Amino acid sequence: MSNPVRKKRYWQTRELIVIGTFAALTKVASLLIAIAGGGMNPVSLVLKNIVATSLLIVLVYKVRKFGVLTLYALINSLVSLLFLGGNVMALPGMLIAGIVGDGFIMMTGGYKRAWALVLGVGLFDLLSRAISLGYSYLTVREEPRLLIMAAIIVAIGYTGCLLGLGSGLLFVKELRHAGIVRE
Amino acid sequence: MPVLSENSKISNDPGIIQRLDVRTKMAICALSSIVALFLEGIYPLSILAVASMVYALLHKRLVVVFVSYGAILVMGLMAAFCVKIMTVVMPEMGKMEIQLFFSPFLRVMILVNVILALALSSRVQSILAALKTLRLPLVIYLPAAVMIRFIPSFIVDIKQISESLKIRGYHINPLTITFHPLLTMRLLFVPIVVRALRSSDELAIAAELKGLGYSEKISYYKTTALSLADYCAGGVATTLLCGACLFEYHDKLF
Repeated sequence: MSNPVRKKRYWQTRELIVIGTFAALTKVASLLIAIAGGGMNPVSLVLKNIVATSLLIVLVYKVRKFGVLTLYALINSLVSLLFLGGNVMALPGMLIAGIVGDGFIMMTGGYKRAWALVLGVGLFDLLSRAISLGYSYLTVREEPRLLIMAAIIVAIGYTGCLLGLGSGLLFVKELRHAGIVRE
Repeated sequence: MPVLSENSKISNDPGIIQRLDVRTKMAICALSSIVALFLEGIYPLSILAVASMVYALLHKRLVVVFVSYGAILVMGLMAAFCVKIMTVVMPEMGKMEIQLFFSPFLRVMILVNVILALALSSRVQSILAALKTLRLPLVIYLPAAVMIRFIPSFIVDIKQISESLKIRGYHINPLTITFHPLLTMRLLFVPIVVRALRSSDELAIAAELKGLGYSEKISYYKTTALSLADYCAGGVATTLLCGACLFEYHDKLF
């Protein structure tokens, strides 16, 4: 009996499951840190972003393929929309941020270079926040001064993302030492 | 016994919003978000805000809806307070005019109402079913299903880690997060990431052993068609949105 030649898929089941698991973990960890921090707490805001970015770094180290950030952004936005009250208008913005982030990683040396991954994630975080702020500007365009407070909160959050890039790398080093991240 | 079951009571008597297909609710959500963004006049935005409020209240989860309104109001007041302080400290920024706040507030109200109607009527099982009805490719369906499946598990895991930390004398609260952020991160983050990676490995092995992802396309055991209620809701929403647009742009059009 001859076996039909099976086409090799670009995305393996294992990788799709890792993306889903990390998207869930990022959402839950961010939400719980925000709640435990007691609302408008700048320290918990920074901490939440450190954790989210560190998890994203671990994810791109675990799934080193073009499109990982795009798929992560798409899944995150879709489930947020259906389950957690995310905004439908955030979806195209997040997709653009994901595609640009993935494209940047490809152009700056590919998924094998650590610094390309870190810069790509940093750019993805920056773009997703900038696009969200741009959308917020459209919502409050009659009184743009309302956006100043949101911009300050986003800026504080982004410092957490920048710290998260470093902590994510340290964490990957530990996970590699433990044999959990192999590449 | 079915009579004593709370869940069976809910499933036997679904509300109007729950009866709508998730595709209809997503379409209403997307259209409302786009239209609200383009409209600027107080009257068309007010019409849509009232209609969307009725849509959200039809869900009958009044407490959640009013808590959300309270949160929007608090955020709005905080933003207005910041603007007031800025205009006092820096007079060159101009005066604070209350009427400028109306349109952004109404826009946010419309967005929150349509999103609440979608998010509140979705449970884990119904979302998984909804993802199937959307006929998404496996690349999107599988991670989304895993994400939905794992959110409750991770909440339980974090609670267990938090309880184990309490036994060891660490309490996770706003004070410890504020004054010991690095310690908190280390204590919470490390066990949960290791747990997540192990879970994803186990799930991936189980999925591969079951042959998931090897078929050419996903087969659907149940096909769902839109009901009369979906067409009616879609028609009402489209009429309202078109009406609001006509109200706003009738000078330019006619």
